[in-house]
Amino acid sequence: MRGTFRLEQMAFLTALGLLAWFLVTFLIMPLITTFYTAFFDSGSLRIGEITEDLSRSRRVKQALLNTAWMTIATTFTVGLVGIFQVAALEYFHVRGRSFLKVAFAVPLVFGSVVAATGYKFTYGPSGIVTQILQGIVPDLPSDWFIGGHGVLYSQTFLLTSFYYLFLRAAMRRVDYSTVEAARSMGASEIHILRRVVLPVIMPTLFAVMLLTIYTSTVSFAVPEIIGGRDFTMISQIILVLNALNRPDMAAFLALFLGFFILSIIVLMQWIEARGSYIGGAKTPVPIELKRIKNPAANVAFHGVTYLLAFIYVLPVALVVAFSFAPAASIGTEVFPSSFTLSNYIRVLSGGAAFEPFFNSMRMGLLAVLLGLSATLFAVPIMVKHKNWMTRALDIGFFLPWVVPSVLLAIGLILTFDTPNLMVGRAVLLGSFIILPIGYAINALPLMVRFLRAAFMGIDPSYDEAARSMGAGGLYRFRRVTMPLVAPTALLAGGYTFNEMLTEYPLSAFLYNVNNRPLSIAILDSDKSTDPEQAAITLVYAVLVMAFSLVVVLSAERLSLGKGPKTNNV
Amino acid sequence: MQDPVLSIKNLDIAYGAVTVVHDFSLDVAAGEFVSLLGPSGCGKTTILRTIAGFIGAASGSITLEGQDITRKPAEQRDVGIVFQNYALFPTMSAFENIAFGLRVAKRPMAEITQRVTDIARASGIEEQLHKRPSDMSGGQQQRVAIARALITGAKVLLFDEPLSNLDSKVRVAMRREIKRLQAEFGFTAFFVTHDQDEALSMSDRVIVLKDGHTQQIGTGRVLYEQPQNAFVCKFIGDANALTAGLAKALTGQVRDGTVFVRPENTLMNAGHAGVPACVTHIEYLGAQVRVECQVGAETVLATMYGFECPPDLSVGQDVSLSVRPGAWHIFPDTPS
Repeated sequence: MRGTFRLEQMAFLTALGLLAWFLVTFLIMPLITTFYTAFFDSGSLRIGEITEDLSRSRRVKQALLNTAWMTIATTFTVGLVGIFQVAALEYFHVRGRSFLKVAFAVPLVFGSVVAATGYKFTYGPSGIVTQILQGIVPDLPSDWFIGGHGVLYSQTFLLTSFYYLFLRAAMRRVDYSTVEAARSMGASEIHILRRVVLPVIMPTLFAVMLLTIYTSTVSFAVPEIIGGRDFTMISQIILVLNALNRPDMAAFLALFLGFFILSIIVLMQWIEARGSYIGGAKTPVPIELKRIKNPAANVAFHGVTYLLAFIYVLPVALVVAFSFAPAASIGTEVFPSSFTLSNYIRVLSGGAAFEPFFNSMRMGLLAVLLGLSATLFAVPIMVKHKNWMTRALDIGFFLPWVVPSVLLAIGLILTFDTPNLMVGRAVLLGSFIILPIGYAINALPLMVRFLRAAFMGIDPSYDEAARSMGAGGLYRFRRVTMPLVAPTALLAGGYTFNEMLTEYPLSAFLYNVNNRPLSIAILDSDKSTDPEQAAITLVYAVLVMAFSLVVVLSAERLSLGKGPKTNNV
Repeated sequence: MQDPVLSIKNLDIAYGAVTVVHDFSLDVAAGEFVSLLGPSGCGKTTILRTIAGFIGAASGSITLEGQDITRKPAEQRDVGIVFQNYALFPTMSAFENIAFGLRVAKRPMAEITQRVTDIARASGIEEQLHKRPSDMSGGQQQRVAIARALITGAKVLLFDEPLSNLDSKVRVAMRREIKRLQAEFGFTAFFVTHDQDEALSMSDRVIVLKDGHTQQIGTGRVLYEQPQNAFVCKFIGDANALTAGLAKALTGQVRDGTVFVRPENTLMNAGHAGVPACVTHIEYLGAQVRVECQVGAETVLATMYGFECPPDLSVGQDVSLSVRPGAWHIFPDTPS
């Protein structure tokens, strides 16, 4: 028994050492290097020089301006659509709610590079919508959709997932008896919505708006694909500066972006800390859907809801349909006249078309394994003990959340473009492993958030019961704790894998011939005029969406449960 | 007492700088059922968790079957625990839950199956072995928890308020079931509860605890009939605490301290001269009736069998109160 205990202790200390090395080498060092590169040259401060260079660049100024107005506009439009969506799903009775739920959930499975490609496929120069519009307005330029307005349109419908996930959940926390109480006192529906419901969901609404600002600020794939030559945002310009061999300017801009994101997160945490309005009811009554009694208003509400649903579903439907169409029909037909499995066979039967998919799966899996190994080891320690070491771990794990991917990417490039002592004097830039390491670092905050909740939810008496029956630490973890957190760990792994399948910002900076990922392949195919390439991109998109769907449905089942029923009064 | 199976000597337990249990000592004989009874926060669960090894003792010793286990880790103590919420592993079947300790001890599969089946049969849960905890009733979960704690051969079982999650009828049934299992397996039980009915009905001895200090140790009858201090008198059952003036009028006692009278020893309209009072509240509880009376500024509670209570007794009615001769306790006043 004593021998086993010593062995467990040694294993624990080794794992702790490995974790510290991993975080210091691949997170802390890159950030310090970026900071140093941005502000120092051969030991002397040179902040003025860089800011002067940056302010002289017309493209940098334009990108900053574009990012600013795009973020403000997106926050407004996404808020409008998002709130309408939540009202349609969780407050008013709308016919076909099950279909609408699926339609509005589209951004959950249709995001990043895949979604941007889908929108371009639908509205772009050879897009179906463009073909139809040109039939009506022959003078319409084929690239009418490309530019800032196209980015705004796409982001408006792609970033509502936060509203779909969080605001809906907040709406379900509204105690329906408070609505009924207001109604019994003669309050109008608008008054109830404004004075009773809105204050309860307000903190979540703020948080969701800040999430939109966050996402829009670091937006990369959508402007890259839909923005065209004249519309660039800050992440793109950082990539350009890095390619132009100005890592100092890239690092400075990435840090600037990082500080902006940090302030958003501090604000979000402040809102979170202020808490939400929790009613005193011990048994809150779930909200019931309200029928709109005015027939005209009801028709108008249904009309707008279904128009939105159509906008959501259209790109996905076209991508799925054309992925089964002969390549020749892409860009020439409004809807495929024949169907084939040949595109899927080409991608899945191996060879060049399969390689990016295989690379992304390998790297995603590796990132999941790395991330889960680190977090499954560290989170129970962080939950159980409160000391300087666990606080440091906590901060370490959450750093990637406040550090934009482009900043991490720049850091990894600057740290590992020369032999580095921390990795045995190896040069990791250009290797296969650099990208999965970046993915894993990127995924840590999400995994910690998921797993922390899971570990905190475990009744400590399970562990005590196992101890009282003589079970040692490792045995208890394997037989008692792991089965309890396994569903959450699987979900966190699934989410991460899903995200990494089409991850763009890190990939754009760190990919090389050894690990060309799916997102880069999709982007390259998008730029190609070859219909065969376009067909392969569509297959990639469908496969990614299918996987995402499985993850999202599992998550929905775990978190939200059943929906509200309708009040027929 | 024969050689105690569990012996606790001068145990102090502290959370940081705050000592929450002071100088706790107890010897428990083999096969004995002892209960630790006290209000919330008095330190009873803390003592149980210290015996189990989940909390370290600040000083003192704990001996199990003659072996000092004070500094041993929980996993090496060989005591079984039944938790308040049973702590059955939700991912495992009842069989796997019961077999857990044997698997840890790396017993052969055939032996595990045999022993689990045997103990399940004796506990009346043989049909439930394939079920997960969530598919079992509270009573069945309770039996699985006891079987799980017993199967490794633990001589002492610690019960941490295991009946508090059950509804009242099941709770009464489970009290008997635990006593039956104790008779069947012969284990020594250390039972923590805040419910005096539970403690009095099941225990050979009860330890009353307050603010980490032992107040009295004795059988239920001794604690009720011969309380050693005002706290035990008030905590075990009900008691009217009479002020000096009323005490003199009702009992004739003129002594320093407070006079305590049990409600069943407070007589109403007993036919002889009593103290005039007015009925302010009546609670009809079936077999028993509780009557609250106002005497001057004080309230006195009297209880009687339902058949003893006049059917026309009503709130506002004038009555006379007296006390059964000699049926009172006097304790010095202590600062509250």
